[in-house]
Order: sequence, then structure tokens, then C-alpha cells
Amino acid sequence: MSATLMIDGVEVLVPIDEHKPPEHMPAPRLTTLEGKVLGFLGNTKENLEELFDVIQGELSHRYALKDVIRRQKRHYAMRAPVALLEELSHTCDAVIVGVGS
Amino acid sequence: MQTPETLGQAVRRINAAFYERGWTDGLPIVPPTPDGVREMLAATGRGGEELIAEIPPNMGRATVEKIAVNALMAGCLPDDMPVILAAVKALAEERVGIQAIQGTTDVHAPLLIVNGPIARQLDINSGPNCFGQGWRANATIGRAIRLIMLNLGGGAPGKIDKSTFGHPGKYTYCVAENEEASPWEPLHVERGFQAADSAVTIFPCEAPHQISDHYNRSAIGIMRTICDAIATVGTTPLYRAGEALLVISPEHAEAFRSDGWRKRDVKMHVFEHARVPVGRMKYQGDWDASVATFTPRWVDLDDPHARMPILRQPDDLLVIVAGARAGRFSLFMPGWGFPTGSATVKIER
Repeated sequence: MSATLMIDGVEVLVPIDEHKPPEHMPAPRLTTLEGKVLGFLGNTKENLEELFDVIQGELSHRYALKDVIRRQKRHYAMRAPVALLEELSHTCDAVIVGVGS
Repeated sequence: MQTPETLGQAVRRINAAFYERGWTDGLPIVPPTPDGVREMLAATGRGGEELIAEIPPNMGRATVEKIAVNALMAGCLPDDMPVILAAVKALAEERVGIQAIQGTTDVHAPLLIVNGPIARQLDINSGPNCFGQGWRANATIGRAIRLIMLNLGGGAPGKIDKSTFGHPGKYTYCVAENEEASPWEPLHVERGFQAADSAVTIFPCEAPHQISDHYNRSAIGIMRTICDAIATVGTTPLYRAGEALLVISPEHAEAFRSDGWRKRDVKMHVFEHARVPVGRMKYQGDWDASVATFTPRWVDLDDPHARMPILRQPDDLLVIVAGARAGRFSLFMPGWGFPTGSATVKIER
């Protein structure tokens, strides 16, 4: 049975999904990008890859990155496939996710 | 025991509490009391914990009970529940792409098109003013879907829902097809269901755009007007591909019946003739690098005289007949574009 509220003596059911989603803890933060594999995941919208180019250039200048992996979703309105997310999580030490427009 | 005064006060306070929590569309709701929700559930013959779908983007669990709560809030009656359950199932189909619709800056909202005997049984309007006010079933069934998208999907305006304008269909957007006035097979039969089945189609689309043609008495003449009206730079599918809906009035439909046009002929004509020269669509509207992705191989984007079809294939056009018997109009509602679209689900009683 859904959770309920009492308002002015009237019991009503709650219309939202009151079950808390599992807590998503962020991954431990890196202290440096030296020797790390850096991933980029773009949403295919305009200007994002150019922005990623600038960020990649700046970070490559500051740190000796072991590798850079650039990936895109198939379409900005579609969820990233699980296989793509798993690839990035298994191969990268950090991933920058961007939303262009 | 409550007096009329305290009952009224309770209803007002419940409405205020729900509104403050962001659980409404701004209009008053029917308080979802346990007895009311039990009545809604009883009409389904299903357990309240049965999961129908998870609604993006929050992936809230649309159990039969949660659907009943939101449907009761919307003002639905127990007999409406089979339509709403089927609509929720259709809403969550991947090809509808509802996560895109929930967060878009575009105006689009899911339209429910109901076919089959249930439309008459529930008095879902397919005739006069069918996209407007006045019919309880149209108003409340469409509204139930909106509340479900809000309360279970998280599509709160200004937060997840980033629509620049919205449109009035985001309060409710539900019609029945006028199968009696149509010279063709209904939409659900076209999609493989039996005529005796009832079904609901979900199609995220814009508000209706009226196309007026009181001059032409021939089908070809009406089609010329329709194609001229929709082949514009501002039409969403021109740049983003995807589906669109043409709603033909009974008066216009009579011309198609007289001239022996099939539904396929309408779709082919729109595909062939509703086109925009590449030179006109380039560097305006929604022109960007992604246009090439949705361009058929036989359209040369380097040729300004090449003509881009509004619809990339004839079957991207949904065609139904609806509306009153008087009025020589048709309606055009573009979809959001790839990867969203329509889905049709059978209504189980």
C-alpha cells in the first residue's frame, strides 16, 4: 500500500514513488591525473566535441595522461547504452560527461 | 463526522498541500482517499503492487495502485482504468522516447488516441470539439497520464521539464478516432489489431495546427493545401525526421471517400509533395551538422534545388479522422523527431 498523509483529518494516498532510490555514492576522487586514463562522453550536440578538445588539450598540457578515450552517445535523446558505460567505467580512471547545445 | 463546511475546508487544504508539494498540474485534484483508490483498483481486477512500467527519467514505479492514485486525482472513474493502464504501458515503450519528451525545451506532449468499442463505452469524444473541453473522459484520462508523468516520472515544469512554452495539451491530450466518419481502417487496425479490439496510441506531438480548406471539393485539391501548409522551414520533422499526425475532418474525409483515396494514397502524397528545397532549409530553422544524419541518400545537400521530404518515409505519417461533421479543416501535429515516435497497446478489460 502507498504511503499516506493525514490532512485535516482526511487520509490520502501519496501519488509519487516514495521508495527512495538506491544511494549513488560518487567514486573516490582522484588526487591527480598523472598517468591516468581520461574518458570523455558526449551527447552529440553542437559545440561539445570542440569544448572537449579544449579541455583535453588543457589537461594533456598539465598532466602526462596515459590515454584519452573519446566516446559519444548515439543520440542526445537516448540513454547511453549499458555496454558503453561499462566500457568507460572499466577502462578509464576518470570520465568527463558533457551536454552540448 | 464532517459537516459540509469542514469537508470543503479539508478538500481545499488537501489541494493546497498537494500543490505545495508539486504533485498537481495547478488545477484542483480529487483527493486520493483509500476508499476511492480501492474502487479504482477493483475495476482493474489486478493487484495494486503489479508493476506496469517505470516512468523516465526518475524511473518511478508505476504500479497499478500508483496509477490509480494519480487517475483518481485527475478525476477519472474506475471504468477508465483499463485505458490508463494501457496508455502507461505504451508511454514507457522505448520507441516513444518519453525521457526525451520529459526534459525537452520543445513543446511536445503525449497525445492519446483511443480506438475501438471502449471509446464509445466511456464516451471519449471523437466528434465536435474533440481536442477541446467538455467531455469528462477526454479531460480526465489525458490528465491522468500527465500526473503520472509528473509524479512518477519527475517531469516537473521548470525543473526536469524544460519546455520553453509548453502547450495546452500538457494539461490533457486525449481523443478518440471518429471511426464512423472515416473511409479507412482505424489506426489500431492499421497497426495489426482487430476492429473489435480496443487500443490506445501514444504519440508525443505539438498542439494541433489547423489547415483550412473550404474551397476544394476534391481529395487532390485538399492534399495540395495540406502539403503547402506543412512543407515549411519551421516544421520539426524537416530537420529531425520522425513521425507526424494528420487529423482529417469528416467533411474532408468525404472527399477522400468520393475520390476513392486510400490511407496509403494520403501518406504517399504527403511524402512526395510535402518537401522543402535544400536551399531554403539550409542555414536557418534547425539547421545543424546533425541534419545530414537524417537526410536520405537520394537528397543532395549540396544541391539547393534538391527537395527534402518533411517525412522521410510515407509510414512516418499517422492518419486519423476526427472532429465534427461540419467544418472543412484538417489538423497537423508534428512529432518531436528521432528517436521518439508512437506506440499502440491493446486495452485489456
